[in-house]
Amino acid sequence: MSLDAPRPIHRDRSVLLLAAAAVVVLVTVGLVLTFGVNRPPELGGLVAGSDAPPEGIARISWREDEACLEVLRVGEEPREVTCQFEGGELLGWRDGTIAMRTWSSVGEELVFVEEATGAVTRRLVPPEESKDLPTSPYGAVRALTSGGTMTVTDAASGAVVWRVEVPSNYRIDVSARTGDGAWIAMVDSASRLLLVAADGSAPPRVWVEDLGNSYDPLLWEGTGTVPE
Amino acid sequence: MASQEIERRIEAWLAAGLLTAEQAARLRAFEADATGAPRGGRRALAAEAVGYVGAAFALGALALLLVDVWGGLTVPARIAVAALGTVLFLGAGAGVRRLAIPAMQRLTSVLWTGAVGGLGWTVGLVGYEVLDLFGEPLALLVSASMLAVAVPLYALRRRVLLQLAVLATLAAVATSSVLTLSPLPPPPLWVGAGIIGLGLTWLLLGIGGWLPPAVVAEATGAVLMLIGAQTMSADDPRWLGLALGVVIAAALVVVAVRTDTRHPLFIGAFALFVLTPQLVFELFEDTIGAPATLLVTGLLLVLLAVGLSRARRDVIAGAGHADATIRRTPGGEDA
Repeated sequence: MSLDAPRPIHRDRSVLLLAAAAVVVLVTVGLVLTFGVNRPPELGGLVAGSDAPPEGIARISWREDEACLEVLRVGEEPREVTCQFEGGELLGWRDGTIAMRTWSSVGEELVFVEEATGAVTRRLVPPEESKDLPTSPYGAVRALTSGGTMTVTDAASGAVVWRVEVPSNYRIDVSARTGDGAWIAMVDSASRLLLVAADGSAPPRVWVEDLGNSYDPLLWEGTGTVPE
Repeated sequence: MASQEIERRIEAWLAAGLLTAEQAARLRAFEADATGAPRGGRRALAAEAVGYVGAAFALGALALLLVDVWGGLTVPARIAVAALGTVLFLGAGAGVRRLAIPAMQRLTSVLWTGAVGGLGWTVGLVGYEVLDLFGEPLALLVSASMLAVAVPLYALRRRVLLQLAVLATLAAVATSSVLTLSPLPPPPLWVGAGIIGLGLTWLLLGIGGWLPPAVVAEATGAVLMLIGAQTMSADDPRWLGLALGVVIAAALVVVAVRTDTRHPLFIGAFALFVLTPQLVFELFEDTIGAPATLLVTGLLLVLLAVGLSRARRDVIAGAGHADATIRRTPGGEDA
């Protein structure tokens, strides 16, 4: 049968099918907007001067095909320290220097970046022992959802950090603890950066509304290892 | 009437607006069949196919040249290149649209589909480079502008490619709208429900004759519904999406047998082979093990085949009975 071959169409049936299609559209839009569009739990914002750690957080963000080292501090706009990598992992942030393991066309390198200026102070082929260095941790917390309630516990102590009613597609993707263990930063599936006290004394507050994606690990200032 | 006279009359009716280009093409084909005049047939189609392959090579070469110089172009120059390509496709399509030759009708459809793609490229560049948009808002802007152009072009030239362009851009608008509205990624269950809704809408409009060519609308609508069911099965409970998919596939096969049409049969049968094993594994694998699961799947499919062949016999027998009744009526000898 030719694709363009005309078919006899009964007008009444045709109008009926048009009406049925309109009903399907209305029902589908209604269902998807009601059940498919979910919102994350509402939380208060983190404001400058409030009770919050003074340390910054480093993360790797992506701009087009480049990996950028980005630093976030409470009360300041996110700052791109440098954008020159094809990819990388954060190893440590000590004394103003951020150590990264990067890879590019020249191979794998250990790169040391001065946080204040973005200057790369050293590049070296990773020594054998540095290959076992832990990269920035993904999981300072464990989040379990049961019956619509998500319980977030500190992975180290087991203390309940946050308990909240959530939609089924809400998750905590990445989390990291400060050096003194008092604070935990988390990125949820709405790409929000949240800050919560590790003792669970108050609900989390929203530090950054939209990080762009929720999977890149976080590294607190004063944590991790900067190889010699 | 001599064939030259017929051709002269068709041209006159076409010029007077009494015939559309498609009607003129159909009249020519009908007259060629009736008079035994040569239509070109396979040779013309082969020549057309060779022409498209040549054009694809030429466009590929142009694209490679463009890739080389693209990095050195300023933003306005990049936008101008994309816009120029779009206008060329659109203008060329408008130019050949009036030619009442089937090959030119198909070429119009190809060129205008290219114009829809070119517009998406142009608007994407403007959105990203000038308006600083990215992610879902950029996708929404690009897909909405493509849809806004694809719909009127399809209204002018109701052919396969433009219909598919309308469907693809409509799906992209729906997806990017939901992603823009929803701060959380939508659950697969409701993404699948949305795809099923779009597919069912397309199918109903196709059956109703609102989206010619109807066969394409029905086939794409059916395929979308099955993709939607498979998408739903990525969410809990998994069996729900798979069971819905099996029901849709079985319904397509039944409709195909009852109406004696092929495309729902191919789509439905293929989907049954894909979805039924998944469903049986999901429901029974833990209790009866993999070999028994395969056995159950096979038996289910055999039962379905037997049921369908019986249904087919009933339809044929019913049609035969109706024919016999007509033949027995007075004056019904030639019916």
